[in-house]
Amino acid sequence: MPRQGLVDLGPIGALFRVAPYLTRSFVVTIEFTVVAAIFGLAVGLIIALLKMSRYRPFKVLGTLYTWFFRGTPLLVQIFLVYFGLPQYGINLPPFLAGALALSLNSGAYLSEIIRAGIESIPVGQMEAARSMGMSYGLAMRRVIIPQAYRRMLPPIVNEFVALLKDSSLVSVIGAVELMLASRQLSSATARPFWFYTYAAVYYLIGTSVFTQLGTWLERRLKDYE
Amino acid sequence: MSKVPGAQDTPVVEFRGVSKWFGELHVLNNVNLTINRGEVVVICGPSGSGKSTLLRTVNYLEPIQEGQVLIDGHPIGQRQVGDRWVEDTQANINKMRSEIGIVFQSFNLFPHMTALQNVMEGLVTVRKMPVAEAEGIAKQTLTQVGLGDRMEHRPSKLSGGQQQRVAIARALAMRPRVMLFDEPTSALDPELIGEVLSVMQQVAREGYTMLVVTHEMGFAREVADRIVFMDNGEVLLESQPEQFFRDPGHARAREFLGRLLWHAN
Repeated sequence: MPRQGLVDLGPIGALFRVAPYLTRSFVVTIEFTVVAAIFGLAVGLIIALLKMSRYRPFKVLGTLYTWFFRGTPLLVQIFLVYFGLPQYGINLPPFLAGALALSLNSGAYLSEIIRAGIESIPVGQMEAARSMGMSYGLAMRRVIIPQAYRRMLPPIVNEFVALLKDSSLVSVIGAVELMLASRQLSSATARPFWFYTYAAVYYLIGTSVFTQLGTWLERRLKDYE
Repeated sequence: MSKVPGAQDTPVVEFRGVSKWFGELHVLNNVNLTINRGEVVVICGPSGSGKSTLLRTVNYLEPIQEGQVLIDGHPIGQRQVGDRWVEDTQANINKMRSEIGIVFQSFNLFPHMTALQNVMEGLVTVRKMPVAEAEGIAKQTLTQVGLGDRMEHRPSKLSGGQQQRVAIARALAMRPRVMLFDEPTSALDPELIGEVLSVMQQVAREGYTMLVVTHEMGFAREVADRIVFMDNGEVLLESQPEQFFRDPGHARAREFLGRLLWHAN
């Protein structure tokens, strides 16, 4: 990492010099977000189904899961996975530990979005489907889910925006993503204002792209309502 | 009017001592009623009298606590194990439901599908019919209800009357043993009621067995073979339309008719 002379280049010159490095670390941030989004969705779907189950122990399990992961700080969850699990012989490298904690956390939020989406479909839809002779599973697949996912998309995109920002927390366990890269550059040059501003700009670009994508999807799917 | 000659006495739907409670509330009280093949039976009564609930027991949307509802002789939702009756398997219930058509007050069309797809859905996914064959039947059925030119429209692009006609076509396409109508015109603007009623009249003329919950007394007078009056979960009387409208012969039915006519004028 070129440190000498960064300060002499001034804020704009320094940005051009470190841009490739920041971009590479931003890619790591995006990787965290995408991995956590995919696994978070899988976790969220499972938890949502548990919560909607008629079988009480499943319901309780799903509710406890959401209660814990929404009720405790993400930072505590990251520390539990990265520093806590090794006590029981489970050693995960920083990227894996961070991605796991983020997935489990976003799974809790996504499960609420998925459940609310499914429950927002009028009862009459399920009744009409079952009246044709569809099984519960078939009715879900053909009638409920296709309608629910259109309603769930906007809040899911919002959740991904939050995930992108929250991924900055994994910098504390040494995963070199955008936030940690910026901190290293700040302390090496004693110009924190420059480098954290650059980080902010990168995050803004990321969140804006997500938000735009969400708006576009929302508009496209509106016709089907 | 629509009875098939010589087939009048084949029961399609039979309620035998049907009772149902919602908690303390006795919503259906020992209902006994038989609907024969090709018959059109209108159920009327004040709101909260249990008529919609009774209709919904026919396809097991509402389970009952006492009695039996038989479809062509088979009790729906129940099966005998030894000498005890237990809840039937989902597979059996689904199979019987696929042979019972129902039309809801709020249409309940699938909004993410076109009119044609709505009508094809049950044929393809439940009956496992080849798509081409299902499409043929669906197109023919939609044409019958006068929507041959609206097949590619989504429900949101159709009027309430058109939506309800698609819903009727969706039920008819399955060639059901009986057609249930649960206040099919109650959610419609007055000017759209006629088109739905005339499609229902046409369905009756084709010989379908129909059980209709409605406040449309004009339809009852012209199309029904029998009128059933319910109050407080009980069937208070069954009679021929002419007699019912001349004098139902029961104080509460007289009161009910009086109120309806008052509002109609």
